[in-house]
Amino acid sequence: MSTAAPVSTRLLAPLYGGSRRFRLIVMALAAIVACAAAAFLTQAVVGLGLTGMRRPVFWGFYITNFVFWIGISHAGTLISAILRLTKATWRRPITRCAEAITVFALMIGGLFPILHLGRPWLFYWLAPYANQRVIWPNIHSPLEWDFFAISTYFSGSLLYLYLPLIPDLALIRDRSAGWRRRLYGALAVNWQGTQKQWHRLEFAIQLMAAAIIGVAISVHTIVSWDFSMSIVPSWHSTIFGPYFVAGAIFSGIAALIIVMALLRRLLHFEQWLQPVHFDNLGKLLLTMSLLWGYFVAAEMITVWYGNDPSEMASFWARVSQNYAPLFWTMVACNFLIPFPILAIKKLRTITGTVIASSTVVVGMWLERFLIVVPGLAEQRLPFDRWLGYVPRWPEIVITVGSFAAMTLLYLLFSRLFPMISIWEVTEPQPVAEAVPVPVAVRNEIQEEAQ
Amino acid sequence: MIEISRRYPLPNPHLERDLASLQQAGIDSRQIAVLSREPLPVELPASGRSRLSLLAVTGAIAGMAGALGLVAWTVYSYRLHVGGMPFFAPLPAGVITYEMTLLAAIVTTVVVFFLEAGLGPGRRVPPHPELQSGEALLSVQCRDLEQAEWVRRILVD
Repeated sequence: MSTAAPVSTRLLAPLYGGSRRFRLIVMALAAIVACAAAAFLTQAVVGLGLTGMRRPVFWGFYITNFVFWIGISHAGTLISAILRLTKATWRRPITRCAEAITVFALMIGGLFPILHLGRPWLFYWLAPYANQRVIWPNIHSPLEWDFFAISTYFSGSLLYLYLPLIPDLALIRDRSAGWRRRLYGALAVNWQGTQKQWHRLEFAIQLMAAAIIGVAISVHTIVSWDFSMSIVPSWHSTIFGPYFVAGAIFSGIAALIIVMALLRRLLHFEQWLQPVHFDNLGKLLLTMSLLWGYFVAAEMITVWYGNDPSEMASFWARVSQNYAPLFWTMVACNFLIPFPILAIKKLRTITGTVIASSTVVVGMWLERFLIVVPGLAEQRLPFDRWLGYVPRWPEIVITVGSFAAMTLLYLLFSRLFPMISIWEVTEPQPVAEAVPVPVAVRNEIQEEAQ
Repeated sequence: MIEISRRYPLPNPHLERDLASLQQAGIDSRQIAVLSREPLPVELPASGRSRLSLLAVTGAIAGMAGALGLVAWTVYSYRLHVGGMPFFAPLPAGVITYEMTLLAAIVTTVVVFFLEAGLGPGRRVPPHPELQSGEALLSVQCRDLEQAEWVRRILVD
C-alpha cells in the first residue's frame, strides 16, 4: 500500500487482504487449539486424575495460567484508560491493540478455573441464580468474588473496546458493500458523526476510563485474595494485593510491546507504531520491573526475618532447593535481563524492548507458577514434601493451546477490525500539543493581548 | 424536507462563520447537523448539555443497592457458616457490591450514551459516505423551497 494513500485506506488495508500465509497460520493455530480442546474433553471424561495434580498440590498449571492470563489482561484496558485520562497524545495508535489484548486474555484466563473443575459442566453454579434450592453460592468465598470481578472486568472491557470502535465501524460501513456493509452497519448502530455524537462519545469514554481503572485494580487484587485469604505458607500475605496488581501491569506492558512489534512487522504499521512508542512503553516497563523487584525483596526479607518454620520451608524450596532453578530464572527474566536493556537509552530500541518484554512474559509465568505450587507443596506435614507436582500431558497441551488461542483470536480480530483507531490518529491535535510554541513567540502573543 | 449541504476541508474558519450566519437567519439548530469522521477541533453549539455523568452515578447507586440486596438474599436464603463470620459479613459483601456498583455505572454510561447520541438499530442514517477524514460536512434540513434558497445563499454563495 502506497504511503500516498489516505491514512484510513492504509489502516483498513489488512481487512481486505487475506494471503495464503495468513490462512496457513490460522489453520496451524486452530489445529493446536483443537488439540487443547480434545485434551480437555479427555480430562473431563476420565477425570482430574489424568493431570499431575495430587494432594497437597491441588492447584497447578491451570491456576498458574489463570493468574497469568488475568495479569496479561491488564495490558489493555488499564493502560489505555490511564493514558486516556492523562491525555497522553502518544497513546492514540496503541490503545486499540491494548484493549483487544484485554478482552481475549480475559476470555482465555476466565476459562481456566472451569477447566480446573472436576465437573466443569456445573460451572454455572457460581452464578447467583434462583434455583430449586433458592440461591446458594458462598458469598464469603474469594472464588465467588472472582466470578463477580472477572464478569465485571470482561463486560466493561468489551464495552470499552467497542465504544471507540463505533466511528471506525461506520467508516468501514460507508466504504463497503454486501455482507461487510450489513455486518459493520449493524455494529456501527447508525453512527453518523454529528458533533453531538462525538461529544457524547468522548465524554462516555472518559467516564468509562475512570470506572474501568477501579475495576482493573480490584480484579487482580481479588485474584490475589484467592491465595492470601488462605492460611497457607507463602500465600497468607498482606502485600499480595498490590504485588499482584504491579505484576499484572508489568506482564501486561510486556505483552503489549510484543504485540505492537508483531503488528508493526506483519501489518506494516511502521508509520504509526514508532520507536517513540516502544521507548515510552519501555520506560514504563522499567518502572514496573523496579517495582516488581521491590515487592519481591520486601516479601522475601519479611519472611526470612520472621523465620517461621512453615514459611521458611517454602522460602528455601524456592531459593535453594527444588524450585531454585525456576526462581533464579524468574529473577533473571524479570529483573537482571530487562533492567540494563531498558535503563540504557541506546539499548531501549524496538528490538531491545521486545527482547526485554519476551523475558518478562516468561519470567511472569514462572512467577505465577512459583506462587501457586511451592506454597502448596511445602506444607506443614513432612510427608507432603515427598509428593511434588509434575504436570502431565493434558495440562501441557492445554497451556500451549491457550497461547495458540490468544494468537488466533488476535489474528482474526486484526482481519475484521482496524487495529489502530483511525479517528484517533487522524483527529486534529490542539495546536499546543502539535507544535510547541517558542517562549519568545508566546511572550509576544501575551504582550499583544495585554 | 430539502437537504442542502457543504463540505469543508479542515481547519476552516468558514464553517464557524456559516454556522453563525445560519443561526442569525433563524434556522432552528435541530435542522442543522455538522458531520465529521473525527472530532472537530472547534467547539460548536449543537452538542447541548449531557446528563451522562449524573445518570452514571444514579446507575452506580442502583447497582450498589441491587448488589446489597442480592448478597442479603443469597446469604439468608441458604445459610452457610463460614469461619465464624456473620451471615451478612461486610467485607465479602463489600467486594461484590464494589464490583456490581462499577458494572452498573459502566452499563448505564453506555446505555445513556446510546440514547443521548441517538444511536441504535432502526434509526435513519443520512447517506454521506463521501465524507472523508479531515473534513466536515454541514447539512441543513430545510422546511420549504424558500428556506432552502436562503440556506443555499449562505452556504454556497
